[in-house]
Order: sequence, then C-alpha cells, then structure tokens
Amino acid sequence: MTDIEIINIILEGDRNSYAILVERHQSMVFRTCLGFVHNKEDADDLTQEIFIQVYQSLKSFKAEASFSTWLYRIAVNASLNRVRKTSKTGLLSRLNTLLGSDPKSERDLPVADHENPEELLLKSEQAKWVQEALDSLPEKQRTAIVLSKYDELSQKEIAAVMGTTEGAVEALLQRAKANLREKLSSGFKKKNK
Amino acid sequence: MNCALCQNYLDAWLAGTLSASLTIQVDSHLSHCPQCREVAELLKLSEAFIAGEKQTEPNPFLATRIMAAIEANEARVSQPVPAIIRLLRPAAITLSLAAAVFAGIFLGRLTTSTNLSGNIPAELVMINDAQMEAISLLSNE
Repeated sequence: MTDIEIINIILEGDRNSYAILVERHQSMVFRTCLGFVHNKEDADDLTQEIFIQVYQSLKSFKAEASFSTWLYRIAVNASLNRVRKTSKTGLLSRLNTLLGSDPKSERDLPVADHENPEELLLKSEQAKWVQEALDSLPEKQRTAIVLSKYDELSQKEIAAVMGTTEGAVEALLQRAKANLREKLSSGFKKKNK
Repeated sequence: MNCALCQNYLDAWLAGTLSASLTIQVDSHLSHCPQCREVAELLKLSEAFIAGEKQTEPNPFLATRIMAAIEANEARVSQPVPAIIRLLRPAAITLSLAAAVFAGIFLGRLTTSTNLSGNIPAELVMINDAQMEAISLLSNE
C-alpha cells in the first residue's frame, strides 16, 4: 500500500494503520534528528514528538509533495527548533559537560578493540571537534549537510524538502563543505597550540 | 594543482568518485602538502563520525510508544470539560489580571514622593524667579 492509501484509511477512522507509516519512516526521521542533536535519547524523543505532530496534522497533508518530503520538512523544522531551544540553555549544558555530570556529553568515533586509553581520548576529542564544526554551520547549510550525508538524499530531493532549487542546494553544499573544512582545521590548530 | 583546488576535490577523493587522472593529481599534491593532508585527515574524521552516528538504531519500541501516546492524547481530548470549568476559566483569568494591575498600583503608591520644599532653607523658598528681571534686560543697561 502506498503512503497516500494508508493516510486515507487513517483519515477514515482506522488509527491503528498509522503504525504502518511509523514503522516505514521511523528510521529516516530518527537519522535526520540524530544529524542535528547527535544524541540517541534526544533523537528518540524528537522522533516521537514528530510522529505525534504528523498524526495530528494528517488532515492538512495535501499530497502536493510526497508524504516523505512532507515528513522530512517537519523533521527538519522540529530538529532546528530543538537545536535553537538547546542553544539558549547552552551555558548550563556546557557547565554540566565541564563538570562531567552530563551523561549525554559522550560523542564517540568508532573505536577498535586494540586502541589504548590515549588513542580513545584523542578519538573522543576529535569527535568533539567534528560535532562542534557541524553544529556551528548556518542552519541552511547544516540542513543540506544532514539531508545529504545522513539521509543520503539527492540534490533534487533536498531541494524539494528545502523548498528551493537544485542549484541553490549545490551552492549550499559547497559552502557547507568549505566551512566544515575551515572549522575542522581551525579546531585542530587550536588544540595543537 | 593548488591547495584550494585540491581541497575542493577532497570529498570526492575520499568517496572514491574522482576520475583516475584527478585522483593521481590529488594524491600527488597530498604527498607534498602537509596542510592539505591535515584537511584530508580531518574530513576522514568527519566522515567516520557521521558513519558512526548513522549506525545508531532508534529505540525498537518507538512505534509502540508513539501509538500509545496518540491513544492517550485522543482519550484526553475526548473527555468532556465540565461546564462549570468552562464558565469559570475566563472569569478566573480576568480576576487574576485585575489583581495584578491593582497590586502594581498599590505597590507604586507605597513609595514616598519627594517633597523638595521640606529640605530647602527658608531663605531660598522665598525667592520667586518669576519676579526677577531677565539677565538680558540687565545686561542691556
């Protein structure tokens, strides 16, 4: 059954069919959220909020774009709102991280079994640079990078989600990658001073 | 190949999607440019970071939690709000606002107003500026 057919069944009163849509798209929404919040628990919570919001808004879905495009838009907007809200309490969060009381502060690169504690510490620091570099991108560039790298969408699909042209998406991705290179490089230099 | 060009090609080089001739040029540049090598290493890190995050799976009970939350929301919405609460709610809001306004006025009146004439010496209080001749008239004499 297509997404539209399932939506029509739900709108006719079969609420349980919504579980099919959830299971079909939850990984995609989760990955998108993770690209913004970088934390599994936060991404789970955000994904849940998004699907509840989508269910409540199903009547307003007009099928002008595909359901997945519409869902991506809601996921991106919800993630950006969460990021904005979090950045307002960023001072407290950074304090918690500094004091080591924030269990969500762990950001890791994949580690091999043979790696010693020094290597693990270095990997943890490197993961922190990467995350900070990604998080410091302007919102549109960050959105384009998440949709491209995490969701592996084509430029055409990204353009549909962002409501822009393919050319604009290409420019955004170029700028985002250049910014990322610069921020990673400056983060690395600061550490090695 | 210069550094700017090399760094532009690094994403494709890392992904293995560059043409053979460009790959050779990038390899050659990286072999003698430590700055670009460093950028390449950092980009590899960012790709590894993203790849690691992409391996994270959502909570396996997420769909169950979502459906349970939707059911709970619908049960809450379908419960009728008692008429007395519907009637009293706007009245309560209005009374709260009025109380806040009156409290503000009351607190404002508590502050004592300054009465300068109580602190001015008697000699100065007697001076009435309106009766004095303007200085410009005096200077014209």
